[in-house]
Amino acid sequence: MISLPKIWEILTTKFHVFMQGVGTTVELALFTVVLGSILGLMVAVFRHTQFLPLRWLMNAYVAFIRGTPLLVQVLMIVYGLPQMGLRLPRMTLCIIALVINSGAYMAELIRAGLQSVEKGQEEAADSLGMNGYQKMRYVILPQAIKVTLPAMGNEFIAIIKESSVLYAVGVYELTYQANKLSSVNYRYLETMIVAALIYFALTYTMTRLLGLLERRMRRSENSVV
Amino acid sequence: MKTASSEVKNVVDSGSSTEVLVQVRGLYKNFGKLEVLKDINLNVHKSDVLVLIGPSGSGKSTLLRSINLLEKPTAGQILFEGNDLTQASRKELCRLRERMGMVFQQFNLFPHLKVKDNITVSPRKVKSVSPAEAEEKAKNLLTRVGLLDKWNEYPSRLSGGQKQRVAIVRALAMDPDMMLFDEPTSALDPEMVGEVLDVMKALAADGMTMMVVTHEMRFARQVADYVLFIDDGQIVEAGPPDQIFDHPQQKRTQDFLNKVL
Ligand SMILES: Nc1ncnc2c1ncn2[C@@H]1O[C@H](COP(=O)(O)OP(=O)(O)OP(=O)(O)O)[C@@H](O)[C@H]1O
Ligand SMILES: [Mg+2]
Repeated sequence: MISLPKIWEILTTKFHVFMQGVGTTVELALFTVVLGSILGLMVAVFRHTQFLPLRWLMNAYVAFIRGTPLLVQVLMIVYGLPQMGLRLPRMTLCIIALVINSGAYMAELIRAGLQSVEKGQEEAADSLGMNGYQKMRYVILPQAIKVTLPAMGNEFIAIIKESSVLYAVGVYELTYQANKLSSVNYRYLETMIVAALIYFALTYTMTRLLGLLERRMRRSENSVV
Repeated sequence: MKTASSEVKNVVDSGSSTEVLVQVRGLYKNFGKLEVLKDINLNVHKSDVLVLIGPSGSGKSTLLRSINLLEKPTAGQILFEGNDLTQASRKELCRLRERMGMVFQQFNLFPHLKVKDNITVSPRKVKSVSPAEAEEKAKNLLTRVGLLDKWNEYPSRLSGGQKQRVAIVRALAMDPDMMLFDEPTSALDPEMVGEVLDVMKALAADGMTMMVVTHEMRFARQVADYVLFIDDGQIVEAGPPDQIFDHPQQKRTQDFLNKVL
């Protein structure tokens, strides 16, 4: 039987334990979304260049990440890198794994954004004598990013949820904390309900914030065309 | 009287006594199997205004876009002040394009930049002009086209005619030696055509070298030093406007003018 008072009790008495997990989860997600965006941006731009080997490499990276489970990638990085002699803090390894994963998805989003920029924009930049870098930096990328931003917000929300796989490698994020608690209090259902509610509060707040931001952005330049 | 074939073989020359700015030699352009330009030979003299007319699909845009290498020729040379654009390195091509402004049918303003930044971004980034200097020049040019009050607006807030005038200013801000116009008034509501043509007339009167693809025959007659009638990828007939409009020699020119005039 689910016990509602028990849920309340777990939430209130163990609040600090959950909050510790929330802190780690948010930290992971923030690092990942920022670094993942940068990586994704670089990959997307490289996939745009004329230099074929680089393009192939980037395509292979994106295909591999999208075609394999996140948990497998995490295990490969978190245990694999130290095995290769790269001794880094567990948290750092986890961020590396998440960034490598998220970078591929971000690259796809940004690529779609780049493709949405009209051909005439590139021609105008060309006709003004801009070189490849200037064209990308001042004309194409700003427009592509604007189009991609909402999707990147969704990716941030996805990262918050997906970072829960890291409980498998013993990082004290929210799912790990909840799992640890329930193995002591044997109230798996109630404890996980609390964890789920906290995840939901996080993602729901983010969704609303991003929606607000998007509306403000749209208002400030009265539709891009 | 010249026959069509001898006309095609010769270099069409805009004829002024000023020096030659652009030389097109043996220009061919194919899109796959489609031959769009066939052996174009053309001299454009400094300060001349060339107007390109011809039926839809005849290759006018392709010819214009070949001049600044937005279209890469299949064969032939484009010489700008003696430099062959088809042989230029990427860097040289950028330097040469700086000196050829282009105005597009669809304006192609940068929607994410305010009018002032649309105009100043390339002088600043491409030519390393100081922000203050770039802005002063932009303001002068905007004043000339009567749009200084739009300085801080985004393009989406402008009418079509205003957008096109800003686009012309954006090109002029690079101090080009030549301007290319591809149907600059075709996307405009009729009441806005005049304001853009007026700017172009003023530019022509100022001595700017111009190549203009247009369907505005009145404008062509008024402003052109030289009119090229293009059909099926060739310059079928060329000459001063009164000759082309009043005494066309070629049957194809006559048929075309009968349809549009
Ligand atoms: N990128 C392209 N790929 C394939 N075919 C093209 C391309 N650009 C132009 N063409 C073809 O080349 C021919 C000439 O096109 P172009 O745009 O130069 O004609 P135009 O004289 O400017 O016509 P319009 O008056 O309609 O603008 C047309 O048959 C067109 O379909
Ligand atoms: Mg055309």
